[in-house]
Amino acid sequence: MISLQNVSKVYRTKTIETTALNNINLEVPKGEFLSIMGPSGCGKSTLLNIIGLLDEPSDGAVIVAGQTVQKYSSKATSRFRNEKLGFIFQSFHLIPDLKVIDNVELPLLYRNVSGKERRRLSEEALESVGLKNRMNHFPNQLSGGQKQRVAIARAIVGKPEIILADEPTGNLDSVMGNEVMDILMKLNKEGQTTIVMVTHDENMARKTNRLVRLYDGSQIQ
Amino acid sequence: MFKNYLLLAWRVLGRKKFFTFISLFGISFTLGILMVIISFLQTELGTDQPWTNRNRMVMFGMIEMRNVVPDTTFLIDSTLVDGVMAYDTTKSVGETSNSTTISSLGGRFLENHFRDLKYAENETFYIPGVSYNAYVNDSKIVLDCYYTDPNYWEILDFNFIEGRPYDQDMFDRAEQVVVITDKIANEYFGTDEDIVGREIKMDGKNHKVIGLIKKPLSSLLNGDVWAPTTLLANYLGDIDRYTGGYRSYFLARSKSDVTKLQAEIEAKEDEIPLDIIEDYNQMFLEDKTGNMFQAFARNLIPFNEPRRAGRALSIILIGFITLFVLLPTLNLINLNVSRIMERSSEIGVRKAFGASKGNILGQFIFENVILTIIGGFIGLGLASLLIYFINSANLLEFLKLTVNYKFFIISFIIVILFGIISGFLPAYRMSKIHIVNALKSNKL
Ligand SMILES: Nc1ncnc2c1ncn2[C@@H]1O[C@H](COP(=O)(O)OP(=O)(O)OP(=O)(O)O)[C@@H](O)[C@H]1O
Ligand SMILES: [Mg+2]
Repeated sequence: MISLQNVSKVYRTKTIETTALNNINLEVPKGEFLSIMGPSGCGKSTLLNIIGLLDEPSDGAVIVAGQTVQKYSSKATSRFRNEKLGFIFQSFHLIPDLKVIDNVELPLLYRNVSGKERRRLSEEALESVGLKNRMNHFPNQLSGGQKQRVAIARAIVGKPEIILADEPTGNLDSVMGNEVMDILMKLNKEGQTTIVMVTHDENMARKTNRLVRLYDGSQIQ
Repeated sequence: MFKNYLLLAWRVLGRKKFFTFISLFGISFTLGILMVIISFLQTELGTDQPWTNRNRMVMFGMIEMRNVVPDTTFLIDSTLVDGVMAYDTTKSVGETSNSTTISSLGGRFLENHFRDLKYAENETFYIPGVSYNAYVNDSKIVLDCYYTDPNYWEILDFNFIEGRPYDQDMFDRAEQVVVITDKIANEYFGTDEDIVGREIKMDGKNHKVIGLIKKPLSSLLNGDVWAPTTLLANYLGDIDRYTGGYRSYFLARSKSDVTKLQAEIEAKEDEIPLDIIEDYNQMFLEDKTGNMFQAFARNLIPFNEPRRAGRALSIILIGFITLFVLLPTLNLINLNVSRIMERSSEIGVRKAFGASKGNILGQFIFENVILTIIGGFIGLGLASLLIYFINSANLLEFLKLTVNYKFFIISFIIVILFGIISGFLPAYRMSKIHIVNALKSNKL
């Protein structure tokens, strides 16, 4: 499902050069729940962004869902992100001016889906994270765990094949973190969704199929 | 999709009340001023009645006559050659003009030299602004009379409420007939109904009203009464004079013939003989004709040459519009940049979930257009108020500003353009933002 070949990422500024990723080779088969761990600044987010086509590698090939990505800013790539990928962020990134239901609906706006259908799919997604009763609330009326569940609903509403989560439980206490983790595991088992998750929490990582450790931009296991 | 954007635009504007207020203030003020300018230009330069033919019209109303006498100057140079004084004399003949007149035209001058021009389809020679006093119920009213030929009514397309203009026969027979405006009818008769057939006393004689027209709004036409030129004694003027009280309009065969017609008229400068004229021996027609924009400009800017006035007015208008539109646009762009920057993580999220550059661009331009439309409506209110004030206080003499459907259409187009232009730059910048950087700003 995901294949990285000799991927490197170097950030160049005027004064220094930072190697965020150094020659990474990674294969993620369909349906796997992979977690990525490592100390702060070791390149976890960079790796996830590259898998999610949000960032371009300095070197190497990225093949996601059978497609080799070439032009990152093209319409085709936008479309690909829209159809194949779902993102969950540590800080939720919900749009404060939109109601929960409208936030969830967002990925469908960029598809050819009627308003009625969008509504139905969004309610369904909210139902599956147990928040259908909150659909007319605004994000700031929700707890952190609830916000992240809304973010999950948004990530899954378009039925993507791959979900990329960057520290989804990082801002949550353990109870809420576990709730979120349970939802992700259920998605992975029942929906055969491939999930790549960055985490700092060994307990969370242990629940996944496989763990990749990064250290200073390199894969160590 | 648009419903969604509309909802979001509404919420964003509602949340950022201060920003919205500042923006709306600027937008509505700018657009309001712009609408007043449009209304003014439309009234003065549009093709509403009676100016249906405006784009093909050429006005010619002034000549410059000079009397130039040769002036001989002797220059004596003295040098000492071999102890003897030698004189070297040169004589130069200069020109001094010792009298110049700039005047409107003589009737005979026009009749003899300007009927049936090659590029003109029609022409009218008329005398504007002859004032008469009339007394109605012991109070005085002033009648501003235009004396014209019958062609006048073909070139200018007046809106006749009642009756008709005088024709060639009536003109030739010098019938005592007039066409009057509804405004003067109300003042003179106390009504503007059933006016045709009544008599109006002017210059001590009774004139039969044969036509009632709507008072024209334009500043180029401030008459109350129109009558055949033949009513005036010696209406063509003296044989040995090219000057007089006349002005003229010519109608070019097509819009593109206007400049050719102007050139044709001005070229008469070299053709018209001057030996029959007593006081002057040179005539200048250069730069004395104008198309209707130049005529309008000459009315506003005190230059004798209509074309020069036209150029000056163009520069003034462009400068004015630049100032009143560009500055607020730049300001709005600036406001928009900071407003959009605050929403960079929203843009990041949208792009991560598949929004293309075009989607982002569309969304933010749409939002800005909504904002400008709201501002446009406020501006329209402002403009209407201002126009009402200008009209009722009679700030522009002889001119009533109009607000009609054309005005709304032009204003609406300007509003939309304004919204798109001021929204485009910031939106375009943000649509190109790198997703990861956008998400990092972490403001959501
Ligand atoms: N835009 C950038 N310009 C320069 N350097 C960058 C940029 N983005 C990231 N880096 C550097 O790349 C390295 C990897 O960053 P990354 O965000 O991937 O770390 P991380 O493992 O996700 O850390 P954390 O656990 O704190 O989130 C860091 O050393 C960081 O300073
Ligand atoms: Mg990180």
